[in-house]
Amino acid sequence: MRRYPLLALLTRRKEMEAQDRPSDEAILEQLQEIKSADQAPLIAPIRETVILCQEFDEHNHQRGQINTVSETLSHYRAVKRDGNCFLRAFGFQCMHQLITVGSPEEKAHFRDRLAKIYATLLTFPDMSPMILDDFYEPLRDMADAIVAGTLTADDLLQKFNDPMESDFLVMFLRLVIVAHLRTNHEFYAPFCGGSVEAFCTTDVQPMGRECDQVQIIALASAMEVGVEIISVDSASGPRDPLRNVFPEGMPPRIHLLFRPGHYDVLLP
Amino acid sequence: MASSYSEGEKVRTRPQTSRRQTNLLEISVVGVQNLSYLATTLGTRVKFADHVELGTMSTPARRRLMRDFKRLQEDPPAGINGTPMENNIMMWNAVIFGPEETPWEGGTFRLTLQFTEEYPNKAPVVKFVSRMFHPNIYNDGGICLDILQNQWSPIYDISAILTSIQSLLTDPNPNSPANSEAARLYAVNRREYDRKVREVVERSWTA
Repeated sequence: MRRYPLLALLTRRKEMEAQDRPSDEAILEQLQEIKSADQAPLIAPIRETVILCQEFDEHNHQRGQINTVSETLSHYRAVKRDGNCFLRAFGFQCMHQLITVGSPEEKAHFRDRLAKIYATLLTFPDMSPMILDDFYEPLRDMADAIVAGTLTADDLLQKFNDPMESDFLVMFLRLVIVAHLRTNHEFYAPFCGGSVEAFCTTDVQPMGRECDQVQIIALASAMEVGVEIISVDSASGPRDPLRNVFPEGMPPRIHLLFRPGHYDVLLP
Repeated sequence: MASSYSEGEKVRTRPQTSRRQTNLLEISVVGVQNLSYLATTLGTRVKFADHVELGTMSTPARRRLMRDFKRLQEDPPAGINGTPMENNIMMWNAVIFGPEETPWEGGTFRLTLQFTEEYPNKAPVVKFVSRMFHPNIYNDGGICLDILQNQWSPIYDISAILTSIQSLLTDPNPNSPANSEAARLYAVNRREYDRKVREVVERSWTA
């Protein structure tokens, strides 16, 4: 990013205003927002969904869409905007849902899926327990504790807000996607620009890389957990946001709010 | 030229005619402080846990570095070497041997890797200490390599980092030049490029 000295910036102000540039106030406001987002928790406490209406002015379609969403999903949790938001939101809400309302079968299924995916990862020549265990063990221990009923929702929130631990959990979910894409590479290759391997290197494995539809489908399919993505954007109608469930046909257990570039958790 | 080794730790390397990489070095040591470094350079199995203070404060980063070290010892990739400094596991010395049958052959290039407590979630800072001539290596030894920057992933360990840098030597990326002269010669005058590379190879024996 280019940086202009303050004086140069001031002299440039006029010509930039002529190009329909946002006002200085608007820029300061945005900077403040970015700064406060930086200090935001990785997973925030529950708030009311209607608050999000304030982010859009009254003529904006998104505002009406948020209103519609809030009728059935009245609460949300903000997730830090660091490029890992989808994975953090998915991982947190998946386990939170298991802890609070999950059946014993669902809990066992979650634990067993993770174990199976870990075993799959170990079959790849570039993976080894020495690399994987940092990321697998914390999640496995949590899954065991969920099955045993010894992990509380508060414990979960705390773990997801510990930067190191939280990032390790996110990283294992990235590896879940890698395992699923590699195992089903013939299906996914056309959606990955031809090479699943290259896609994993550039768009899945790096921390902070945002998830798009391919990663979402892969993770939801691998974990066999239905996720509904509710997209609030100007392309949809004035009242109804776009809703997609992955994998298709599976009843959604998790609802995520998508605004371009970002996911948050939605709750009934 | 900057050296990563402190006073009194002098390791001199120069090539012999032997083609086997492990035998490429004839090392004369003044002082024994750098014994652990020397041992791995020679490929000798030495337990370092006794010599290297691997951190009484066990943090995820330090535990992971221990494991990286173990993996490097148990399954050493051809032509690379790495060991933590004796009193600081967050700082590593490494050597990359120039790949055979390339202009880099015979070179013993030294690097440092500096880790933070955020490893492996953040990449280490990796720099060549030996002088280099390469399109993707800056004059100060900094390396322009995607997996160390925007494609970093916590699944890469020290072994993977050094192996990637080793293959970068013979497979430069012309799209992100860090040394414009090297990039230009690589593109338009390969003969002169190879000559410059052999210069840094020779320099690596004495520096």
